[in-house]
Amino acid sequence: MVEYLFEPIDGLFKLALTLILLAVIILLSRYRKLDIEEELIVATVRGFMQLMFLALILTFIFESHLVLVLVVYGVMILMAGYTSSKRAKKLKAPLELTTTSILVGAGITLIIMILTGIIPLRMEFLIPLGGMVIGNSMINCSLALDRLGSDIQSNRNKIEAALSLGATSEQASLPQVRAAVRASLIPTIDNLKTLGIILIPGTMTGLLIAGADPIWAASYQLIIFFMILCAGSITIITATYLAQQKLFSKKHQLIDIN
Amino acid sequence: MTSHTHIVMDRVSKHLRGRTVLNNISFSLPAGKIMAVIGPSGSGKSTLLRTINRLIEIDSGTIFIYHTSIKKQNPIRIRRKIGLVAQTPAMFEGTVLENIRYGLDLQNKYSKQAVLKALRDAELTTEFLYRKASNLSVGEQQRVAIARALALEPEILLLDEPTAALDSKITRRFEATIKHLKDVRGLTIVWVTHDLAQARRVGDYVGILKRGKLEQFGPASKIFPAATKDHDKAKRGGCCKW
Repeated sequence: MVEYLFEPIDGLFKLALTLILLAVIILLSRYRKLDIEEELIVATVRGFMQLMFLALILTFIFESHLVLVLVVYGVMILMAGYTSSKRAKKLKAPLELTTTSILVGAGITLIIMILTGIIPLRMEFLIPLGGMVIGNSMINCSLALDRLGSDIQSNRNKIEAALSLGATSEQASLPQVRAAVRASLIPTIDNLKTLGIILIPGTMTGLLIAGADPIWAASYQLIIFFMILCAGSITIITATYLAQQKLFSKKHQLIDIN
Repeated sequence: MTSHTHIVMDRVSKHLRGRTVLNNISFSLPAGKIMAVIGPSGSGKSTLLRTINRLIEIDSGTIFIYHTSIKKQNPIRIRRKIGLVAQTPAMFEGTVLENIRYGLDLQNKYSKQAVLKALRDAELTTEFLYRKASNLSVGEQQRVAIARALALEPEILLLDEPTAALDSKITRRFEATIKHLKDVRGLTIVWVTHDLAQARRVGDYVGILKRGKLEQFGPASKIFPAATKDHDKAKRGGCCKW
């Protein structure tokens, strides 16, 4: 176990010190009439409250039974599904679609990682890593459905032309699905490509600060990236497949989504 | 080959977003004939066309093709027998060849002969084959769209204002091509247009659609009697006011 760099009380004291710096920025903004004071104050108070609330919950969860992790994952997936569904308004029953996709993508990945022991069965690993995987799957899902919805709408005539030539709905919308999958995975792939060159990613930074061995920190960061990529890919494939089923009738007709 | 091919609509209705787009439409089009459907925009012409190849599902009534209700036929198979050419040609990514062979590839039936025959019938030369489809003029793209449909050897052709974006000279050439195709291939054609003069030039049968209702349908000679051949007279005669 790594030694804590901060004692809790000492930590709060240091937090107060950074707030002084923030106060200086607010004064500076006022002096220069930049008009960002209100937003800075609101954001700071909100961020402080939210993170402290999370810390309290985590303190409680870390000491609870492991079964609670399922409840937490359930809430996370529902919230992620709800957020993502706002991007897929054009589809029928979007909440059901996004929640299912994230559940499948993040669920399969997390189960494999837990069963193989890559994620230790300990709350302090299960909760943050689960959140990371579910959160990224949510972003992938939103990007894919947003792109698919608008591409299908703007390419109705091409899809209709393909259907008229005897293509199935899957064949007719393949170019749009392909574009949606690529577009939604590009941020994750680009992150993976530039890993360690442009930025030292969060987990590795955290582990290094906590005094972990750099090789171990790098390996763990890579595992997390692969987890995010796998979960995201499965989510996107599921979401685009389900969206195709909603956008077309069983008779291979493009449903009017206007 | 096509003696049995004809299209029958029997009391067909379609509602979209609370509006009646097609209202109790009935007609019977004999095989190997061109039916010109005319009417103002929003009268339901495009919807009517798309119900025939089942891109749009009707709410009531029956559409018969080959004497069988289309609801009893596989939509994919039926679309392979019915070519559709839209107002704005929708070109797929890639070359003219890739566009023309698209439908053939779906059925694993690609052959160079089929592509060349379709290309010739659409009055395009082989030098077009390797050109990027999206770089062609609208008139050329419209011919590629025709060739793409012809490659599947359809028995019915649905044309949705195919000359709307073309100038008058190219329009006349296009009309001649289609009439020639009707003769050599024995195609049955439904041709949607908002141009009365064009309907008179191409239609063996004419249907007049207004607010979703087929107000008149019959042989062109009856809809456009000889005395009212002139465009203005036809309008004064009251057959086609909009």
